[in-house]
Amino acid sequence: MPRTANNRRNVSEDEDDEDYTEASQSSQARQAAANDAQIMERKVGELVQYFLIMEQNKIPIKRGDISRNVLKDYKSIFQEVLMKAKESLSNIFGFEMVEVEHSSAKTKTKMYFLLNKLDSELREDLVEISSENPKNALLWIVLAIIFMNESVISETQLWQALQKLGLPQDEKNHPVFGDLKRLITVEFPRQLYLECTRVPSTDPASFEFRWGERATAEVDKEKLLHMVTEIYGNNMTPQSWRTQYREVQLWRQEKGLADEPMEQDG
Amino acid sequence: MEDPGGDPNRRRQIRHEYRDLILQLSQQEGENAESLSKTLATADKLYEEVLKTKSAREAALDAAFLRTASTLTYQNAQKLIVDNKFEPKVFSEKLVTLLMGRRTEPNSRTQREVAIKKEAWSRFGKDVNSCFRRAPPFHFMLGSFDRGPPIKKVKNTSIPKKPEGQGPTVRPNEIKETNKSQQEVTSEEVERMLGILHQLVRGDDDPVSFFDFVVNPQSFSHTIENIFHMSFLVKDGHVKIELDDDGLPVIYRSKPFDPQEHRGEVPRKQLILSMDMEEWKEIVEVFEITEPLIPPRVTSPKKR
Repeated sequence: MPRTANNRRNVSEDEDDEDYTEASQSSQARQAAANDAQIMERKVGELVQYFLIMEQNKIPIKRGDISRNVLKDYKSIFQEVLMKAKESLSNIFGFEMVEVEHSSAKTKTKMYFLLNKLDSELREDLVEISSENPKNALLWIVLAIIFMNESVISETQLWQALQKLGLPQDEKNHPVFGDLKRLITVEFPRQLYLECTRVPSTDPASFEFRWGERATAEVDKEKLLHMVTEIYGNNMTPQSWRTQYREVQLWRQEKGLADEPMEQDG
Repeated sequence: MEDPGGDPNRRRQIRHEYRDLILQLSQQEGENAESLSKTLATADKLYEEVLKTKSAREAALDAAFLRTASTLTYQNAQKLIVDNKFEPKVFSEKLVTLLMGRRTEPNSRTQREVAIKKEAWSRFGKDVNSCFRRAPPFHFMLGSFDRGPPIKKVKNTSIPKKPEGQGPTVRPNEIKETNKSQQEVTSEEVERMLGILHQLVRGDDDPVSFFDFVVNPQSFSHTIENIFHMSFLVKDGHVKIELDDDGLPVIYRSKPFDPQEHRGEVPRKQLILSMDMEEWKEIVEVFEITEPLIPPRVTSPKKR
């Protein structure tokens, strides 16, 4: 959808010309409505594009970002533009626009990001050229550790585990990941994949990690548990991880999936 | 408000005991459950007394105690190792085996040896992608413009806009002299003075009156400045000052002191010469000085 910055001006000028011939009130009203529709369509298109581009670095979009960078003078139509963009993203691109309320120390902010609506089975055959794979691998490991550790892990424990993978906390120039601490404590939390909180009443402050809002929305807990079990071995089955298995069942219920037992994979 | 019953002293004591208990708890982290349950029992007994008095202050302390206790219990429970507790470190080791593609004894390698190749990370990342409902990022086929470094916001207040139609900017002449340090100015002056002296006297035996030389009849301050500069010439041995037959100071040209010629101690002499405004006026009159022998140095009018 090519859009030019002076689109609006051109449109209004064209219609002004027509107006001189029949300057009746009703036509002016009609034209105003047509203008509104034009603006709406243009803003929806811009917002869809904004979402697609912003998904590149996985940093969620804040309400303020949309108003400031896309809507600009048309903040009043926020809700409608957002709904229509959501529809477009879903119908055309197969993306789900997710809204979460991210609460930091004091404030609560509404944030938006995109998820793929296609099943992973359907995606399997699609070619995806991504340089993000190594980072995803690390992210998956961290999320898996947190999930298996019953949804929370202390900073110390996490780094101990990562150290074993040749990923020490103080590594600033890792050949694959660069500044590791930054990645884990800044980048992933910013993307809402991780949540890093201070353990109350600790001095010196110690921190613990949980899943962030994006991880909760994006990760298939059932597949995760299966994969971890496979890697972990030790004669474990998904069911023998009792707490985690229960968690998966809850997740299935939330998704509206049948309470299908997972025995067949055993 | 209902006045809580009970003996105020006893109540104070209860509060004190509660605080003690809370302190005990905070030191109990990592200890066994037995000491914790003892502490809890003590608190229970205390609370029975609190119930009788119906006092809010003590009850609040009991709540604070309970809160600390439950935090501690929670922390302990987390540390509890149940049979099939997930071990992050064990998981990491399994991952290393998987990613390195070989089995190694966990104890036989040090941390530094674990160097998983980028390809392995990449492959593993691809494998786990099915766990994520990741929206593929949108990229232009031929790439997009680099965003470049963030644009620095320029504050509006910095430079007021120049009104249009203004003529070329007039810039005041740069004054080079101000850049010179005082020392440079002084040594320059001293050299100039020596040059003037060399013009006045033809030989080393040809004296010139000290007062004729240094006094500027128009300016007392220049006179003083000249004497100051003269002192450098004397110090470096370019001139010598002697008294003539009338007992008045005269200046001779001299050769600078050469340390090669003199071995051993060279006596140093100091002379303090004073001249105030009255004396200066008198000298100008008596010696009938009308023109300065040393023209005042040219300075920019702003400077002094």
